[in-house]
Amino acid sequence: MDMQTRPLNLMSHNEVDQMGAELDALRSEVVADLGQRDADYIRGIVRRQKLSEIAGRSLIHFSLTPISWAAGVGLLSISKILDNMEIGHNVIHGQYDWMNDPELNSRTFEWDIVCDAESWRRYHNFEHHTFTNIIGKDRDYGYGLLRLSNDIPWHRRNLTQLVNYVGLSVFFQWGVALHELEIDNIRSGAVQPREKLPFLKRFLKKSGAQLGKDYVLFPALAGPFAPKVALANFFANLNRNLWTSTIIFCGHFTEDAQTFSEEECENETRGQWYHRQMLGSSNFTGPRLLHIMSGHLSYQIEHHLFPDIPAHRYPEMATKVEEICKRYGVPYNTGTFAQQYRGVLGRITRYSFPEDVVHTAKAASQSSSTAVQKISRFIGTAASRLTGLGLR
Amino acid sequence: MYGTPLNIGLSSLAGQGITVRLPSFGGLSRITELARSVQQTVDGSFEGFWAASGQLQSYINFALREIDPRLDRLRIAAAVVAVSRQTEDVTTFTIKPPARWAGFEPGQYVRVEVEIDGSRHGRLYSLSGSARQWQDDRTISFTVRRQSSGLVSSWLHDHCEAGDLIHISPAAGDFRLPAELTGNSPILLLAAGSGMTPVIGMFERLALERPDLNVHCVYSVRGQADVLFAERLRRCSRLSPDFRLSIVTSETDGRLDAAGLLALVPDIGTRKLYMCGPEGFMQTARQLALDSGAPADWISSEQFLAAPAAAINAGAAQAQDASVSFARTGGLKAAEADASLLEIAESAGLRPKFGCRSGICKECLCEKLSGTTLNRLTGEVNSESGSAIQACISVPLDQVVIANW
Repeated sequence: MDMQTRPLNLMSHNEVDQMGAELDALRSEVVADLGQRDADYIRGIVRRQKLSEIAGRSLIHFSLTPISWAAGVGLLSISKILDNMEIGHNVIHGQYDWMNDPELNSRTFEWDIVCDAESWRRYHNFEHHTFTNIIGKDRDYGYGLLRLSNDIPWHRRNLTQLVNYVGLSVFFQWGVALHELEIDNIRSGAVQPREKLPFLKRFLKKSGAQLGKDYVLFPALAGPFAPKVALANFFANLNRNLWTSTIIFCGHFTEDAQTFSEEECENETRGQWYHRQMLGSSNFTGPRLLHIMSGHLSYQIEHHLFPDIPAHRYPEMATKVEEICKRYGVPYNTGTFAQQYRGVLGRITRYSFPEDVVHTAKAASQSSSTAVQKISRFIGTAASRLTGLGLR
Repeated sequence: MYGTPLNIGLSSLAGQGITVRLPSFGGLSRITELARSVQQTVDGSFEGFWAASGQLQSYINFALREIDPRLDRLRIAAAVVAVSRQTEDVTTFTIKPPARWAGFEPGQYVRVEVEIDGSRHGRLYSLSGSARQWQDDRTISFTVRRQSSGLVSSWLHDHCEAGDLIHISPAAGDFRLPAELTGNSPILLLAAGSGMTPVIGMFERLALERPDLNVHCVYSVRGQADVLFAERLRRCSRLSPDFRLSIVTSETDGRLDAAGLLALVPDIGTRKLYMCGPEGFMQTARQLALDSGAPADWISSEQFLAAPAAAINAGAAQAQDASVSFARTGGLKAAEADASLLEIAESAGLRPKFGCRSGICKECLCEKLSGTTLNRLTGEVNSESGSAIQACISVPLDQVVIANW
């Protein structure tokens, strides 16, 4: 499917409001039910995260063979992933504020990545969840590094965006930490560099503390074995980066996730906000462990409809949400993890090329020419666009 | 088990005081002095360590809690030792705090925090146990009256049992006798209903330390069955003829008003007054004492704030004098119709953080110290003190105080 901003007015105002009311009712039902079960759940996850971090760091510290070292790296990676996704992202959304537990409070929680939680609260909780998938306002859409829809004009540098994607994944925690810098807007002049100084100060403080912890403090504790500890921490961070970026990209960058324009989202009603969240998000299926390790972002649709409901409730709510979608004719974007991820890679590749090149490729693949003819025609069109010589 | 000459700070981590009695004769006294100052430094730096909130503290505390919840250093965990019903709706809970809990003065209170259905709630309760009980058994008590719509009081009555773990704060409060009981002026202790809980400890302390003083304790209750701590009160009053106890039952003798009080205590103007009871009751007594010639600084009172009224339904009305006060910047702004806290703060010239202004992103979370607000998105009413609420969708229903504005 060709991804371009589509008009939202496929449902009548009444229908949208009705759907909104049903979703509101579902939300109230779950909020009223929150209690001991949810408190025990998140405490259990925090416990496992802390235990695996203590075990992982200890194993790394005391390991004498590569096997125990690798086991330590594995445990530390798991702890960092849990801290980032099932705990950090969800707590910072305020999902557990009702517990009145200062260690699980969205205003004060800090997580084990270089991104300062304050910054995240601003640009994720507020910007991303309010302006989800609105091109021009939701800067998460491509992070300024990837072209993922035809709304953004093609530029030669997009050709190598798969490389950008790999780079972004490897250094994902830095991408997340520096996202608020708005480099694109600074370049275009919309934002003055001076405005970003307070943010930069906080960034340097947090990233300094993180680097100090993983690459100075813990290695130093191991004395002469410092390099092995530093290397282990590096790999644990890398594993977490790769995992989280993969999960997060599956949430909005799958093939069929829709984007929107600013105009059509002006003066949105609550029902319309729900509608946009549904069209712009995508789920993936898998075993229960996958859901937990993804911080339940595998239920991206439910997360976007109810960001402040404890994420482990999304699977139960999903059956109702999917049923509501079916009744109102709203597409419910889901697939297996592998399918969705393939779709993400496909999307990144596809938008590396300009619109007409892709069309030509499609048309060519549908015509009856031989493979060689198709390939040469494709190369020809691509080359002409690249060089701008416009040979037809 | 709890003597004190040398109490190693480290072992207080385990909540037990391991003590060693060192004889202090001759040169050895120098060593014990040195050891004591080392212990104080160590204890002090431990307190400093635990007062800071960082990752290291969080992980060490986690490990301690895994070993035993009572080893928690970031909170004070106390085991419930006994639960005893005083009257139909009044129960006394006896708890054992860890050794590092610093003790209390009769008249003070603690903040008791319990977890009810996954969320933590705190209430302030006066300590009703005697100093002797703390000295001998190392336990303290607080007495709770069940409020019909009270979340915590009902939960304590219905679910708290011996063996449970609750969390408390250090003792606090200015309602207490002077540290040194010098002076010879007569004293009047005045209590109504459950207002006896902070006063009983005072009565006992006076009986123990200054039985020579003239102390009159006036206790107003509905009926004989509502008298709390009857045995302890009688024991104190038997100590000397100058220790008098007057129990006034409103069922039989009518409500205690100014005339009645004056009749009971004609020399009220010459007595230091310590009282605890409903606001109206205390107002009457205060006026009477002042009119009789007592100086204002001889009058001490403790007020039990009304329990958060969870009975307000969604059609909650906004009080006439509903307002928002800003604890940090000072100032107060009256409420306007259904303006949200955020809107009110902005009209007062403040610039609090905000985001979507529609209750989704939680950028505008602020800390409500006290007061009742209505969430205009969900219709929920929030009367909790110390809770974080979203300013953009909360409307003040009475006098709300925001801590961080």
